[in-house]
Amino acid sequence: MNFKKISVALLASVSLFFASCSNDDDSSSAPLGDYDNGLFVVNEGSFGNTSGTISFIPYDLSEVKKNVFKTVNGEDLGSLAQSMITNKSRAYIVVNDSHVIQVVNRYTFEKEATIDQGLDNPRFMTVFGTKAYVTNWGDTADETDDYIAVLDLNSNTVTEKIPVELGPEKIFNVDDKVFVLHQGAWGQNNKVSVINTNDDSVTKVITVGDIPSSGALDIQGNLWVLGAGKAAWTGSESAGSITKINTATLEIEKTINFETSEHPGLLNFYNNTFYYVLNGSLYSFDSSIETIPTEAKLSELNAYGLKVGKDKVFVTDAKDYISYGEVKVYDLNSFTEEKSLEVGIIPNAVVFNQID
Amino acid sequence: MNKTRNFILFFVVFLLQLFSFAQTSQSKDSIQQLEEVTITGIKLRDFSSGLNIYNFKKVELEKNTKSLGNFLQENTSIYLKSYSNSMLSSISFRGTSSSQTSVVWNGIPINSFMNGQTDFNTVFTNSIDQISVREGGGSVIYGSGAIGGTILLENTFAFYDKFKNQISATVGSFDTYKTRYQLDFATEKFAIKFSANAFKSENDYKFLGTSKKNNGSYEGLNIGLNVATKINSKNTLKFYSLGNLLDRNLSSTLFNKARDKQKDENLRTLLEWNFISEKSNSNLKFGFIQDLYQYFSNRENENHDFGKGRTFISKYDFIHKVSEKIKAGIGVEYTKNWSDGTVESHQRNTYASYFLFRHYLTNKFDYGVNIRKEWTKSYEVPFVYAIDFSYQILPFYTIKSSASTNFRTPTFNDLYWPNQGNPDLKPEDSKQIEIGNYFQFKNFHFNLTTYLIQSKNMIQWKPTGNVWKPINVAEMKGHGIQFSGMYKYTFGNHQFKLNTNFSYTVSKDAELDTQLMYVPLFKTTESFTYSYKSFSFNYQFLWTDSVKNLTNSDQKIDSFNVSNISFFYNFLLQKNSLDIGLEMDNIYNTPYTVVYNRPMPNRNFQLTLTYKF
Repeated sequence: MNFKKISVALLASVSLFFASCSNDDDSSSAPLGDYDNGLFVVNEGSFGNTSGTISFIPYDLSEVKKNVFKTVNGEDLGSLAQSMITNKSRAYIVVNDSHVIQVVNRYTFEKEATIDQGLDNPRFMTVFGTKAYVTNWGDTADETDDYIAVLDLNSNTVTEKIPVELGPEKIFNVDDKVFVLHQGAWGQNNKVSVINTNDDSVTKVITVGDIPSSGALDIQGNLWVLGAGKAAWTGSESAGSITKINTATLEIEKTINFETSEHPGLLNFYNNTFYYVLNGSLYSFDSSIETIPTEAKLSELNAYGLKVGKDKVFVTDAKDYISYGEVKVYDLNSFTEEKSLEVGIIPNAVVFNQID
Repeated sequence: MNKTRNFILFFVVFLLQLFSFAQTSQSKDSIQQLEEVTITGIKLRDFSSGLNIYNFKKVELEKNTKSLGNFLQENTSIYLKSYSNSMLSSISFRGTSSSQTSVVWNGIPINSFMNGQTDFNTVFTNSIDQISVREGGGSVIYGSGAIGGTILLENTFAFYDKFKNQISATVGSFDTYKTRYQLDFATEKFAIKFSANAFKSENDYKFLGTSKKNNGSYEGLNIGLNVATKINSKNTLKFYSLGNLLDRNLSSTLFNKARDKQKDENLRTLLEWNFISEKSNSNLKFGFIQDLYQYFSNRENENHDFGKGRTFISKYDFIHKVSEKIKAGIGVEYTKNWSDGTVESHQRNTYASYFLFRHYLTNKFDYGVNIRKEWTKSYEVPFVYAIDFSYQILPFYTIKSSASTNFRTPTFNDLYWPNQGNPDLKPEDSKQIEIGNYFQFKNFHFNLTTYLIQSKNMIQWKPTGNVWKPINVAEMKGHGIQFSGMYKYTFGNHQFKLNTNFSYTVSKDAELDTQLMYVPLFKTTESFTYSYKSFSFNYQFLWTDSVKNLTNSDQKIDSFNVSNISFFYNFLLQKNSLDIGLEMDNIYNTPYTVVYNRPMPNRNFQLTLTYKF
């Protein structure tokens, strides 16, 4: 049994994920709590060995508060912290293996609620008005029970489950539409589902490149999907890909493929530029892209997560997956390392608590 | 480390008391041990150099209502990593891993070749007549995995007219019910032993300090059938079988309510032909083992993964008394493994031969040299040897020492796990040296052992690229001290007995120079028994030091101590007898976990009635 669980954990850990952050504007300048002016790092934790944790780093990178949820609330977050988003005064932490979402005040980190009903292997979430949409793998042995949980943010309850294709992962919101990337859970998939938030129905399923593991919205509201492609071990290796989806017409406007052996991940968008990681190197391109970039901005990265913003590149390094990981910070203009900070175990994402 | 210091102080005081107690004791040891008359002769295990630390006889095993895992946790200083009540329990001798312990059932190894270990919560003591726990290396005789230690589970036969039945029923906390039956029938030519053990529990204890409850209910059935026939004074034919069915809803953790479950089916059968003459002992065995596990990630659902392992083993050994002072033996073995399920269909053929030699130079000094070589395709198994001596320096003091090399072959999971297995693995190899001091007095005996152990090519799962793979990477260095002692004092019909076991274990990752995960520096078990005629009372104490559950983090699992008490009363009826046993475990209601986040049971009770006729 444990072998299975270990293997399961191993698989879950090796996929390259990073948190989607729906940053809302918040222009107040007076500190609203201990964790106002800085960034959070989501640390998955070692499956079966530690709780997931959230680390806090002030923007001046002067210190790391390793486990703020426990520090403030005196309890553990749960098993496998998968992702985190902020919305209004709250932060939502999706805890995959405990099948819960922890709702906290984003400035003080005081817990406000634990949503523990209606979630089954929750992964990522996005907010639309007073509703949130949460991707759920469901029972991992069942490839047909995957769904999107619709969350009422006032009552913190799941009000509806929208059945979707296998392996919903990252999720984005544009106007009244929600886009779900179907990376494929422990299998493989190549779909993007579009959900109409007015009636919470799936209006279209768009086929993209294999394993759409990350995505980003550009300024015009186009959704760019980065497909990792199927890995060699699957026996049917396929190329990574970049797909541009017009979120108004729901049509694919551009597809660019990598080499078959190339499996990129961790797509980010910042200052009109896209960033991703391939084979330990950071590459960038802009929306006029026609061919795959060849010049690396940074190399020799051990990137488990990536966040580009605040004129910096934040790379989370999960190291050996059982020790404390690191966040490495690079200057976005000079691409030189500014600082390396020890965080929790298996850091998978950086989330800014404030947009300047 | 104040706690540790206090503990050591306590321990020293305890020992001093033990000694002074012993010296003032004048009374005779009037208790007669009722032991089975077993077939004697030269045995294979007489050659094994491992130190024999614990021996548990039928009387104790019969009384025990718990799994072998719980039994060893409470009665020895060996550490068992128990995931939760009745869930996976894996053993760690001398800071080695669970797959570096060999479990031998009537002479054949029964560790799963799929994961390399035995789940000690699936083995029950009432189907076993004798358990010997041998610390230290024993690969020469017991093969792969006998690095940290070897557990010998044995069934014995006695050929005299008897017809004994025993039936017992247990009711306990958390809706636990157990029934057991044993038959022991024999004539001068024929013997049969049958045992059955059915049990069921909701196992829904509260997680202390939370509003959560465990939801790891389980049920199971164990059946043992052993038959022997004495063909003539020299030849005996024996058949052993042990079946196990277990259906466990896996326990919850503090983080989530478990939804998965596991079913296990184990079948072990063995046919043995034994020829004994005055000068020699020849033994031919054919064994067949089948282990099946099914893992359901959702209990409500029939979808599951499974692993099925089948082993055929044939083994012949011949031991000869060359002279009054010299014994020698040879053995050959052939083992075939087949797998099926998640690791898919694979086979492995293994051939082994060994040579044993023992010389009794004087009646106080003897020594032995044993060697073994194994052959299998795809990897080279190291040649292993063991040398040892035993010297009785004083009438009450014997010193034993041994040095050995040992190995463990990669498991099928290591080799063939889909997309992750590494078929290029080599066996782990290990060497160790130890010195044991044995003191035997009228009312007490104790032993103190120190050892050094070093293992190379340890198989560990590490991330390589995007996939975790097992690789021969780690090197382990360890040393430690073990102490075990027993003191008995009898006064009229009153008898007092103290048992103490203690281990100090340093087991380090040689590269990182840090203590390995789940290896406590200290562990002790203490037991005090008072008996008066048909009544007995037992107090048991277990203390385990804190352990790390991650290599490179400061997170620790707290040390814990647990106390259990039990009362027994035996009503002698005319020909029959009725035993009543009341056990109270974790009497101080201590919350503790052995494995991170998996609470162990709080205070619980068990009442057992046993009728013997």
